[in-house]
Amino acid sequence: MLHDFRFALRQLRKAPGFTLAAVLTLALGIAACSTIFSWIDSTLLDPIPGVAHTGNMVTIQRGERSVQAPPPLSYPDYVDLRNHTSVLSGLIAHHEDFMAITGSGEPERIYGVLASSNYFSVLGVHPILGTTFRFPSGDERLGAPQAVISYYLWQHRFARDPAIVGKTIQINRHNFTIVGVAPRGFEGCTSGLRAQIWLPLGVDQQVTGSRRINNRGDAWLNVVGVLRPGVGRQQAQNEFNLLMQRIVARYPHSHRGDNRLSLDPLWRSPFGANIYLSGSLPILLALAGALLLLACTNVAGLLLVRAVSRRREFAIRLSMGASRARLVRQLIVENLMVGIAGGVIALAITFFTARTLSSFLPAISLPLDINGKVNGAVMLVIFLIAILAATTSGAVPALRASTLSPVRVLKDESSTSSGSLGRSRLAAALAAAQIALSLVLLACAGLFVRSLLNAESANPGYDPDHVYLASYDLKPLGYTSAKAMEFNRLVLQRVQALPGVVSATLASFSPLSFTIGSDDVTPEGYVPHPHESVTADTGTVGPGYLHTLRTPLVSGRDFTDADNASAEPVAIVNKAFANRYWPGQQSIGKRVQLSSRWYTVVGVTVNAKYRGLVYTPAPLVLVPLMQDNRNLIILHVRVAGDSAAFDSAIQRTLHSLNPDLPLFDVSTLKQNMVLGGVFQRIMSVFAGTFGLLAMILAAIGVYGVVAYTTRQRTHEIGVRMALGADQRDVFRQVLKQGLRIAMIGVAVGLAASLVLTRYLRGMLYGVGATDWPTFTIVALALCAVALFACFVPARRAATVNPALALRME
Amino acid sequence: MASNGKLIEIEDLTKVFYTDDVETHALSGVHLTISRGEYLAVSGPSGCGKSTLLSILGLLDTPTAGRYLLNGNPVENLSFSARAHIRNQEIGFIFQSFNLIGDLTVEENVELPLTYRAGMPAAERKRRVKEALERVNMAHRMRHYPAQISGGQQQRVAVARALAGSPSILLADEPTGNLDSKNGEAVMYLLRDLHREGSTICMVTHDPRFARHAEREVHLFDGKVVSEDEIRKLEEEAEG
Repeated sequence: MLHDFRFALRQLRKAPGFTLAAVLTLALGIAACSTIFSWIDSTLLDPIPGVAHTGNMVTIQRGERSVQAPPPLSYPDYVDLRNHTSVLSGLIAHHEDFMAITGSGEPERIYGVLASSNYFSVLGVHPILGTTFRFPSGDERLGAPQAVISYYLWQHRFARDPAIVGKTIQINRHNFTIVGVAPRGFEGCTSGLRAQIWLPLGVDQQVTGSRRINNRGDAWLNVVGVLRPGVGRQQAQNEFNLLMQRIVARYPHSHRGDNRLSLDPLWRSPFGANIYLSGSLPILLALAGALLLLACTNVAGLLLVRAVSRRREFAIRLSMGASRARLVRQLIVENLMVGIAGGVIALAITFFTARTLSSFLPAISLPLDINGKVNGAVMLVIFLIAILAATTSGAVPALRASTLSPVRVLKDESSTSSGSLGRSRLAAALAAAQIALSLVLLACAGLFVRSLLNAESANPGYDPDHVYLASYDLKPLGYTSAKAMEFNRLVLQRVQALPGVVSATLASFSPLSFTIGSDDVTPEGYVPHPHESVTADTGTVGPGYLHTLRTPLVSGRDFTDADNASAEPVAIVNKAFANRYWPGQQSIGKRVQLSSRWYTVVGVTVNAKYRGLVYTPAPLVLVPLMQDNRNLIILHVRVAGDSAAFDSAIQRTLHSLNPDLPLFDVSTLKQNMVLGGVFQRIMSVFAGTFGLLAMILAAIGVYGVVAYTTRQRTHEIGVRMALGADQRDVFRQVLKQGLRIAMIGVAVGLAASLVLTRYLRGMLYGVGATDWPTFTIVALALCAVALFACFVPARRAATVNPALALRME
Repeated sequence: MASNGKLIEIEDLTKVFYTDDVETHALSGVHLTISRGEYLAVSGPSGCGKSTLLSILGLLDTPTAGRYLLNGNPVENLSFSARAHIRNQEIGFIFQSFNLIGDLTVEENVELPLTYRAGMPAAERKRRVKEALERVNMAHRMRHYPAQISGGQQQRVAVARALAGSPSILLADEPTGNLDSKNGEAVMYLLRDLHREGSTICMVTHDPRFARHAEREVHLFDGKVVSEDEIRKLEEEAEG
């Protein structure tokens, strides 16, 4: 075997051109797969970084599965389920929110977690310093002023102070004692979001101002459970639904709507980034797999050509008594070395590309962390893919080489007829397969790009141009609700008075920035179907919100200054809400209950896109900010001209009201549009990149086959010229050969695309999975590329000297 | 231009091959005339320039110097495409190694030169192919591939291919070189019959037995045309 390796190394060194081409081609295919795998590994397979075993963990969702799933449980429901379950060994509750470190200069905004007392023990996370929460009262609801900080916070804010435990940190103007430091890598248990501090659930009121811990009707907690050994997810789900039915029966008024619970593994949890990634990453992996297959096919073609030039060597080995198995082994060893070299390069590429996923996200304060990393699992996958790719690409050429007849080869196969159908058929089939695979990849890329363009050009239900956005949070500055409302009123008054400002409003969310909430609602007079989730997207907005965003009203009116705390609570719903809950009825004047409070509908708007550029319009309820104050405020200012030019004037205005007020997420609504289409853009960019790489590889494949067969047929070309073929005839003949390969590949590729693109249907917007314009453009482009690839060999063939060619045998 | 019954006239033809610093004079001042209906054999030992002469006669190669008139027209300086056109219309090649195309059937091989003639209808091509194959007694093997027939049969198909385009001259380069004596004789009889039917044939051979089938023989030695006496003298010198 060692001899085989030594000989293989010598052979590869002897043919540097072939070695380089094969290694780089395989590296490209392997890197595509390993990059996507690194993302899958870091998100879907390792949804809670820092927690080793998550395979037996589940999240719980109430009602229908959707990307806007509201938190499923209230605190009392959580406690009842935790205390009575027999199928889970532990159930934790958590609520993520922005908080601010106060007390020393400008508040520093961080993402934190309100966590149940068993949070760290159930997850199996042990602080590297100190301990976790301890409750002297024994009652979790009373909380304790204790905090566990992240490794990142400890490192960056406290300079890895070894005596950090016992020190005080002020969060939203309340002092907390740091009791522990979480281990490096642990960032909370919501996939893709990086938390920096954990506080007990019981301090919810101090931190957020909410009084919900004892309210059974207020679902604000997400939960993660650990299945007992031997318990299946379905079995656990059955028990939880039974327990929930009992709770609902005891407290029916607190549990309107759909109370069915579903338990999901963390990789497809509806909370966090995985709800978005679990649909798109497997498809990207499939596309990368197609690219790898194409790379293998390409290398197989190269090996076939190379095998022809080594026929005499193989024949001599066979005639010396080498068995066919021995010859195959030697060739496989050579391919393994090529594969491993490709794997090493792929690993180097993956170190860079694994970190690229987050670069698609615009700079926002939401602490998204969806990048991959190169760890042991990724390295193992690269190694296995390299071995698989090497054997896949090398098997057929090796077997073929081992079946040649040594006698014929050593007699130099002096043939009396030119050309050989069999010799080039396999190589041509491999080239056609490459065209077919690249057509599938390009068709997918085309569909994603068209879908993205459609989504971006579609009317989102508001005018995103010239709208300046800036966020602020009054809670850390100690504002009471009344003071905050007054502050907000003054902000609007002053900003609207600025020259060039067309209009301004405030809201608790901004479109497409993942800031809109969702909640259970009770539409007046609506009787839910059994197991129907009566939920809606919910937002709190200031006066003139629809006017400022230029969102058309279907009926009724926009909010005004008169919709304040002393006025009747009012709401605006969208058409999706009206159509679903009050079909064929007049919505204006009807009431909707939200968070135990009834609001009268005064307006109906069109369906605008708040969650993403591509999703089915969801029911929406907007309520006035002056009737339902929120901590997080996003200022929306429509200006005449360039939004960025108003930045300093608007910031000056806000700081004239409070010089200590930090502004964050300063952007424009147009920039939010980028965020709204981020997953479509990721799919488009990667499918497009894979498609282009595939097209280049396929072009190289066609070039290789045509150049090889043309060279093989030089004698035949001489014969044809002797019979009267002129240069154009020969040129056309070679082009026709390439075109025939391309046409076969295109036909197979189109058939495969028709079958495979159906699986993309749910991810497309405004374009069908069988989009003939896309397929036609891609097919024509591939034919053109194939013809281009044949141009050089065709020219070379056309300039063959017939007298010389005829002397060649 | 009048041709006076002369199909080919070459005067003072020279062909020099240049490889690195070496000049090889393959042909040196060759004069040759071939009349219509003539059956000429060009003989000589290996390396004497026979095949080079045939390549130039067949417009596959160009001379370094000298004149070449085909049908009275100078052809030594024609473009590639004009030479291809003349090859297709006026010249039929028969090669030593048959040079049938393995991917094409017998019928397609014979049809091949006709496919390079713009405007010839398919029916006309089929008719000519059938006629040519019947003439060499190979019509029954039309659907076969070259690998499925014997060497002798392959050469007959090659002759049919040369005939299909009704050329002015058949150029045969060692047409029996890859055949056994029996099949070799058969091909010679076939060429003799074609000559009797009016074909002009120029055959290159190193074998005097086959050269004798021609009505005239030209000897080449070291790239020059020499008489029979000179050949004898040169051979004697070589033996001495």
